[in-house]
Amino acid sequence: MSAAALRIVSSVCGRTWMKALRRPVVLSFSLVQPMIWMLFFGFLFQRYRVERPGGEIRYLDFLLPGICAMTVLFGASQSGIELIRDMQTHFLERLLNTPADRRLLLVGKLTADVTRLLAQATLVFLLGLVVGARISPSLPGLALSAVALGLFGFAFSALSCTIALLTRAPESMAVFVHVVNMPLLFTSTAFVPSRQMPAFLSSVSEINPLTLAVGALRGSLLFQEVPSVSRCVLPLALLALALFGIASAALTRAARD
Amino acid sequence: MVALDGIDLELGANSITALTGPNGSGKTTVLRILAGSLAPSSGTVVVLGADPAANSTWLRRRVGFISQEVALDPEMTGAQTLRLFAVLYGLAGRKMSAKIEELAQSLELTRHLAMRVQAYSGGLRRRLHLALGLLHEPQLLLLDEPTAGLDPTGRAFLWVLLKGLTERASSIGVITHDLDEVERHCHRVALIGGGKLLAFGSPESVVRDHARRILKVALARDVAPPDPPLAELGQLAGVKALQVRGPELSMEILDEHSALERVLSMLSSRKIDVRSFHVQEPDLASAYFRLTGVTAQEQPRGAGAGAGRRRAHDREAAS
Repeated sequence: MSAAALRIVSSVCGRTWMKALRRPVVLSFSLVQPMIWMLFFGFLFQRYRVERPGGEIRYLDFLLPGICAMTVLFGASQSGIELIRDMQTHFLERLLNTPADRRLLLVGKLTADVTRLLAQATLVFLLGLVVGARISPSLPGLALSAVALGLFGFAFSALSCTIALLTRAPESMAVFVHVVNMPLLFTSTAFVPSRQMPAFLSSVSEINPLTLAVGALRGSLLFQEVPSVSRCVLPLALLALALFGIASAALTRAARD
Repeated sequence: MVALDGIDLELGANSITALTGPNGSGKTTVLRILAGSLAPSSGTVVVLGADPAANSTWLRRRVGFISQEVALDPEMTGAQTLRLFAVLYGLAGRKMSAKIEELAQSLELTRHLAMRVQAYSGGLRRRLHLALGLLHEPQLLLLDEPTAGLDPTGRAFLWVLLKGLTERASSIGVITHDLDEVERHCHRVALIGGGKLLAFGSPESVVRDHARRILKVALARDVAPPDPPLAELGQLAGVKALQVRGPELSMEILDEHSALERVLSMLSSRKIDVRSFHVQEPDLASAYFRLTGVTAQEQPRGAGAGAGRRRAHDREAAS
């Protein structure tokens, strides 16, 4: 990437961060929801033990990586809102009228979103430790699972941006939560291990990208595992690339409209 | 729906071309096509020697498009906004700082740069909006109603700025409804109506070819077209296009003195009291009305009854 391209990405990233920080209420709300889920589910199922080969683990410990990934998913789903605001003020049209490569504009915005989501997930993780979750992490595994989680966040932020660009309606972001987030969440291993799911749900969970991100994080946090690049990171990278391509096309279309 | 049909015009270098016409006539569409943000379904458009649709990135480096809507992020400061767009236009380092400083000074924004845009007045916002379109020193600058919402000082300031830009090899296309400003500041004017080019040339040539001298007469009572004197009035030599609106008569006159005498003496002989009359010299406003068919109620700024060049003998008339 050239110096000029890096400047574009960092400038757009800086603007997106600046706008996020100017809305502390929105930022804190996006932390409240995962915390509530963690506290309710964690205490509701505190007697529930998750079976795994070689023993069983406490449900709160099992839940923590799922809640961290859920934080990223829910945060990513709202990524398009900023684009809708920019469309409403015609600011996006103005950005697209510059000679800057539109893909770089999108990379800048998504980079800001992903770093913010990872920061939020880290905060949720730390709060999880405060309420009693216990971990036994592998640092290389944790680094790679952060990459996996980042790719997952990048992919779903790009999807949210696509929907925002196509619909241009803030209401579509609420629909996103029901149509994308909930099915994705409840067909993943975020709350329940696949071996304790009905057979059909277990099959679905295996191809669910959220399962990949949760699995990577859970393995590295609880069992000192290092996620597989080919079975976890690569599929998420391909998904991120595909959804980024679609979002870029939607942005180019928005420039023509 | 056909938005534009048979538009054939050329924006010259080092000059300001005004695009004017009624709302919805297609002016903004012309500008958006020139800016490369819209592609025509047929026809040829050449901007700086290139096809805008095929060379959009190349063109965006050389063309500045200042939309009618002031497109700014209210949460950013003026300085943040200028820096962001400077980077997007490929500026960096000292060149970027120098350009921002130069523009901020020339547009009198310097002491407002640290403020968030949401605290800016309407005039300040419009100036910042304009500054963003000038960061890359465009060879072609397209402005959609840039003076809308500006006070007289702001308008004068803008025209001085635009004239200064034409000296730096910029070609400028500007949409405006202010015909007085077109006559005073623009080198050429394109009059667009119903998606068609109705007239194109220097303001003087458009006035010469299309404007007429208008006689406006205010009567003491309402008259209506079946009135026999009105039919007679319309048939007087040197009088054309008689329009009646209550007690107000408006007509084109070919020769000022003889036609005026004939009209007034005819009305007097029919015992129709005249309260006042005035002759409006041919100007861009009358060409506009004549070509677009727009009525006085829909007239653009600067084309009102008092805005035309009235003759000094405008006077109260005794019956």
